[in-house]
Amino acid sequence: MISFHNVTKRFGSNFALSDVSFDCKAGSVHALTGENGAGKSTLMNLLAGVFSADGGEIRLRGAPIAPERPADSQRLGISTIFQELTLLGNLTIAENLFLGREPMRRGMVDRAEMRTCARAALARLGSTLDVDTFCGDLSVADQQLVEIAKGVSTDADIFIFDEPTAALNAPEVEKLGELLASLKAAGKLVFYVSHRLEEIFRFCDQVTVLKDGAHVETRPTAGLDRDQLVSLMVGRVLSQFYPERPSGPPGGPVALEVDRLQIEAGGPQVSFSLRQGEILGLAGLEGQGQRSIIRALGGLQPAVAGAVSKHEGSQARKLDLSVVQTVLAGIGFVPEDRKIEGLYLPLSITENIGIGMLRRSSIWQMARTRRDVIASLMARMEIRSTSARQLVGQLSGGNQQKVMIGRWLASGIDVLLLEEPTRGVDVGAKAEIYALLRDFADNGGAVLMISSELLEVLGLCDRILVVRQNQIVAELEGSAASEDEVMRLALTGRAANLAESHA
Amino acid sequence: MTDFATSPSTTTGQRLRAAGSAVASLPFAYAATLILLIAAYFMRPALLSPMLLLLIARQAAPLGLAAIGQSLCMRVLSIDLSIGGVIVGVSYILTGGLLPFSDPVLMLIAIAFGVAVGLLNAFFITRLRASSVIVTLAVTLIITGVAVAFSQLRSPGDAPEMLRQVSRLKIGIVPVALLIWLAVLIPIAVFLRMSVFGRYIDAIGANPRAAWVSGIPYVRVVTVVHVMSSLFAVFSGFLLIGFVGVGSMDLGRDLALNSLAAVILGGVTFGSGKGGVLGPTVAALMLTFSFNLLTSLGLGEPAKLMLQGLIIGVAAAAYSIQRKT
Repeated sequence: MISFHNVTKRFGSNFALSDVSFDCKAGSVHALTGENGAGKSTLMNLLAGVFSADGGEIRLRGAPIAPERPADSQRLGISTIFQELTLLGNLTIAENLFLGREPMRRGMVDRAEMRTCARAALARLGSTLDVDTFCGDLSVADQQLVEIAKGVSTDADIFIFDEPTAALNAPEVEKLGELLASLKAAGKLVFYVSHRLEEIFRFCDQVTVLKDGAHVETRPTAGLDRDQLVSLMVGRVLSQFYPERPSGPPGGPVALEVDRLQIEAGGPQVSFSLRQGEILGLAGLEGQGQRSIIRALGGLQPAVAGAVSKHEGSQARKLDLSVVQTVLAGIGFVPEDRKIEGLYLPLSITENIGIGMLRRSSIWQMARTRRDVIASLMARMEIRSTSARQLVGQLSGGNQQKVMIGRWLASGIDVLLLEEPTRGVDVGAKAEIYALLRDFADNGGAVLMISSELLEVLGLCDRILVVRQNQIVAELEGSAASEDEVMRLALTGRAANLAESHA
Repeated sequence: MTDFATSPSTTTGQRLRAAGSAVASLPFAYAATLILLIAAYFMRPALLSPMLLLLIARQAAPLGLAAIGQSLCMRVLSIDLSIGGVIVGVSYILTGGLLPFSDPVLMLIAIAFGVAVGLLNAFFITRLRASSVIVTLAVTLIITGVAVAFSQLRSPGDAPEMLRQVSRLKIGIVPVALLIWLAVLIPIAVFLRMSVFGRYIDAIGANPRAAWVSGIPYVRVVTVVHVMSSLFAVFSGFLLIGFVGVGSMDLGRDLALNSLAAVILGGVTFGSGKGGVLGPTVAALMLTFSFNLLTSLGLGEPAKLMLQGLIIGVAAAAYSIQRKT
């Protein structure tokens, strides 16, 4: 249906795409994958009319097309669901879904019709959101769902999904799978841009791998396994994606003791301890309270009751949960949205990392920037940049993530709280970040993390606490836990045998 | 960005380009100063005598001081429109004759008043998350209103003798007011460059949300910035009152807007969080010089107003263009 012939795109002197050629069939889900910066988004942007190609040809049913703006590509029957959220916060879900193509009756917007259609579009994704909710009030996951509903409700033949599951939880991903299957059955062509290998294998028929702007391979997913696909993407075999866990039971001294922490008045209390040398994961479905727990510990969200104490040697100190105090006590927080909450994009790498070293200084003191420390840290973390003076805004996602984590490593903290440690990061950088976190723990640090990628939690963590409805329902050993077990606990709050005997 | 020091492979072409873009990123005030001096050379060469230039520099000192404070505010994405109000307040405290104290005590009271205004501004901006434009504008209106009301009971008198002396005194040919400006400017510039406070200002300017999330004492930094800005306004007021010799409720009325213009011309733009102290300083000199040039050309107040409006309008437009790219 669509074929690419020697497609080339330059940005300045850099080739974002060079001589990319492959074909895609109608009635299939075609995965597009590769490391960050491989060119997959650029290629889709050519199809979506965001950029124009510098060379080569894109053919739709044999006829060359060259959409110059997004409207052109919509007219050609191409609908794009972008990774960035494009909803308008002060309009309702229904208004957003039909923005610019509102159903009309006698010259007026037919609001009833609009709401009905909106409900139907959401229902296809298994969502029962109220279509009169303002999009600004939705969680990121719900916004993503609305975004998908918006893209799918147009009458198109070709759909582009750019990292659609970044914010979705497991049941929502499941629904998305059903939606993809129904589009496929209707003879549509779906492009599925993703890093997530399990989704590629589950949803997609064909996979195209790009690397550094060049086409590596287009193959049916049926003939591939996970390791083969990863080595196609990185061009090397990842000997070990997740670092090895330390042998023996995790039994370091307690670093952080959480005692009956209560997030909401009348809500449940959580108690747990985080030990030195371990990586502890909070797992669960989206919106079950993991985020509130980690944000409360970082001092970013107030807690109603409870005590948190930090242990240093034999001393325990009760913490005042404000950001300034927790950072002073040696607890660093890495937010999931690095651009909004984490980094100073207009400042250099040195400034971004160096500011962490000042955490114990008074504002009236002279600032010392240990350039040698930053240089060795950058080398150890393999931060790829032109120099330490490069602006962080110019780095790739993976390198930005490393800078954000590096700020805390350089600052000498010993407890690290992380939200989504590898969101929007390519496979190679993921493995490097995992190794860094393991290294931090091996040197006596304590890591607490939440992640919507269950495999990441299973692969990396020593212990896993499953959170459901703001409560910790189970504690599992990381090396022994299975995906199935965690999902069951997260969904039902019960272990497998109990659930079965109950049923 | 090209790293001159550590990359021996840079070609001459790259260096030239880097040098070119470095020049292009210099504050607009530098080029404008040059243009104005050239224009004056052809139109009013008398303005370029060392004697007059020094007098103009002296005249620029109150604006220069106020611009330092304004630049700090703008670097943490705030703004201080209360400068005018502070100066009116200071003027009334010193010359209103309501408080039965000696001049040095009155000056201390004026300083305390400045600190109080700064704290009030900071409280509303950091704790109540109010818009800095609205808060500081309201504060200036309230102070001016109160001062004008009181001055109708009893009209303001002479400026303290000490301040009038300072405005007149010279060391050699250099006015003392200019030296005071430099004596404040240089330590502040060094402090901002070297201190933790300076780093935090850059961080807050670049991304206030990230600054808060990473544990930077946002409230403390912004509070100190606003207190400093009000203190600079107090000192600016001291110099102005000395120049004029008598108290007036019109004093420093356009200082808030002029300081804003100086900061923008000096290369500190809304929301980029970047900039130093030198740019606004040069811009303060340049603005004062341009007002003198306009006056000498017979285009007084109206041209001055148009110039101020133009500067602020263009700067706001430049900012929104920059944001889109």
